[in-house]
Amino acid sequence: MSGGLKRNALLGGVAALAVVAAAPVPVLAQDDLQRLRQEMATERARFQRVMGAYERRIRQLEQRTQELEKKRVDAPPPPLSSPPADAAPPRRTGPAPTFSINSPIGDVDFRIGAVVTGAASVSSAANRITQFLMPGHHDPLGNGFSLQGAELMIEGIVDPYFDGVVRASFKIDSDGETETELEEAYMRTRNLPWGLQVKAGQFYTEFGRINPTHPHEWAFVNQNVIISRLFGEDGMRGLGAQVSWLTPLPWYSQLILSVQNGKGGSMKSFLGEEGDEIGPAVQAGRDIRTFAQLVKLVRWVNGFDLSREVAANIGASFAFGDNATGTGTRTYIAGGDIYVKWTPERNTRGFPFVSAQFEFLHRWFEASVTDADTGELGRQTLRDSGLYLQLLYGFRPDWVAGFRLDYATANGDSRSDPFRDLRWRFSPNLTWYPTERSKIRLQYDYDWAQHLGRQSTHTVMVQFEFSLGAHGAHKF
Amino acid sequence: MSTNLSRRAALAVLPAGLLLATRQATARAALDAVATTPDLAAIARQIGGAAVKADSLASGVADPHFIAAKPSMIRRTHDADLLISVGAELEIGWLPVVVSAAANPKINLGQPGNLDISGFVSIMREPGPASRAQGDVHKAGNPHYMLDPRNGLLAARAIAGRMSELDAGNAATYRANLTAFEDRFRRKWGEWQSGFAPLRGQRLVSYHRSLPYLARAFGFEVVGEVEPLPGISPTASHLEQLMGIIRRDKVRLLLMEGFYERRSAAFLAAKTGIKVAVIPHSVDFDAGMKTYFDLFDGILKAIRAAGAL
Repeated sequence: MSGGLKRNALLGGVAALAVVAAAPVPVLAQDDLQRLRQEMATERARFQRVMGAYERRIRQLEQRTQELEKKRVDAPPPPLSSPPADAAPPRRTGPAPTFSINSPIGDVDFRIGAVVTGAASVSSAANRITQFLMPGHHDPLGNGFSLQGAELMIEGIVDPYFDGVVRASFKIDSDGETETELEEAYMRTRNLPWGLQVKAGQFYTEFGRINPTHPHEWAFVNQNVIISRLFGEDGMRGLGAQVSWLTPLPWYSQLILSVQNGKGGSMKSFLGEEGDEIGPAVQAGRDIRTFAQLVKLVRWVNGFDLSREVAANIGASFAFGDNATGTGTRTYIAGGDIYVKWTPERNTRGFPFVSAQFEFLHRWFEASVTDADTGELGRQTLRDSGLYLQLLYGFRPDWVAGFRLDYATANGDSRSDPFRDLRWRFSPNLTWYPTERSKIRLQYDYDWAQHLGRQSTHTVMVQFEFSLGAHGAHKF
Repeated sequence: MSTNLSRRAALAVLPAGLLLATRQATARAALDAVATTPDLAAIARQIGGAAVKADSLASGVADPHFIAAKPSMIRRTHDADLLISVGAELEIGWLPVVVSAAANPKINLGQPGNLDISGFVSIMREPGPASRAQGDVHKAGNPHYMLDPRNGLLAARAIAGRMSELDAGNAATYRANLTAFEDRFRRKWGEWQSGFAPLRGQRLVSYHRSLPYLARAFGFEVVGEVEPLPGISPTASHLEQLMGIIRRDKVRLLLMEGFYERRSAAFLAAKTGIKVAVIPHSVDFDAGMKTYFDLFDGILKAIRAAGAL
């Protein structure tokens, strides 16, 4: 019984569904079709009306644009009947245009930029020799094409308290492999009182004038000899913290103190990398355990206007910390720097100008050395020093002629050591800036190195550079 | 030797700064203002009167695009209560360095002590999207807006408003000085309009794309520039083209700022007979030009001296 009932109910349900589904549908569809067709016609007409209106508007705007292009003078004058004199104008607290860029995601509060530097060069010596004459990580090969670096930079305001900077660099080495390095990544305070600023993260040590700068800021194709000897192929940088104080002295006078990890390839004179050779000594692998193993820097820099057209900077730097050639062996590096620049007040885009930059550096490196004959462990202080002088003359807009002298020397038996021998280098160069965002530079290097005997080396380099996006403002 | 050396060095460098750090006690105005250009500094002085110390980072003869961020400017900006800038990217090559090195929280972006005048005036923009292929064009619009005196008036109002906010005690003074500025402006506006009247409707050429505002204020038209693109040095082929425009439109006057090279203008003058007027672009361009009103008197004088009025 229940089975029959169930079947009947099922049949009835199906029939009912069939009726509902089949019978009324054609009628409804007929009506709907009619209505949809009408609606479509209405919408199409409306669409055409709107399109027509837009097209007319676009044509008007095009015409107006063309008129304005022809006569920029026709722009409407500013309102003169605007707010009453005593009413405070609206406050503008957003980021000023100087710091923002237009991007697909709207106005953003940071700047993005890229700088690509490449070179083509030819030398009287083979690359196995020039690699010791130009050991810098971003120096070109002696012969052939080089990508000295492609640097990406992002910097901006993090929040009311901090600025942030990230700079990463890509480079193609002599084997065609791409190398990546995070050159800098740090935050810096924005609103500490009394002229104080604190910086923390990965950053270049503020020693002298050249070390804290990136290769594309240099006025010459390659790194200074003494800088690659004392600070390494990529300059001295590391993780740490820095405090700077703009003193209340009546002239520009800044004191900088920093503490950084002393380990790694970018801390060559300190804990460095295991197996690194400094003269006769070898760096052991050592982890940071004590404060002495951190690298401390003190720098004092002063700036003056010598006249309305001549300004100068004078700085002194001192860095110290343990090295890893022995126990408690220490390294001290002292340096002095002078920069003087003349630009007439009536200048064209900063030209003409004459500038002179001089740096002197000296390193005391307490080394634990194994005597080759007796096998006894002894101590000696390796003393290295060097200087450079570079002169730039922006003789007409966009053209700069430069001359650089490099000199380096060291104590002890350093004749055959390419990183401690007596070195001279003269580098005249000529740079053309088609705009401030691109440059082409021709440089000749005369190299004399004691380890190469009497033979000198001649190298000619052509450097190309372009920058995209935000262009960092120039430091003095 | 080792520890001695470090101690000696630390002793020599550290306290030297501390010992000398005796701040000079000087008589201070209620408000210390620094402007990026002499125009804005002059207006700030007029509005601030005795209550405000105001001076300019850039000199009156220099091109405000290309100022070296000298250490002395950083030191000066460190002391300021108020930084007044032109904005619209005019100072982008140097002001960010000065502000970030000055370590002065009062003048940071977003603080009342940071006054960017470009937000208060009428700015002209290039049509179409800005690209570096067009040379040194400013995405934020043409920043030479102070050459329309009506923008100077708007700047004066903005400066008076901000000074009153930072130094409420002297608000009445700032208000009174602004009223005096506005009265003087109305008189001078009429004077300048009749002075420039002979140029009305005329076609001129300029060196840089810096004169559309002056043209807008006084009704002349700039039909060409010596620079092929803003910030790009003139080329022979471009000068050739410009000569064509000068002859076709019978252009009789070239206006240029004093900081540009003069050879191109001399060449054009020799070839086409065009008159060249080197006009002051800023207050303090020469010793007699002390106020913003003197600037437009000076421009008129320079054009008259060139024999074009």
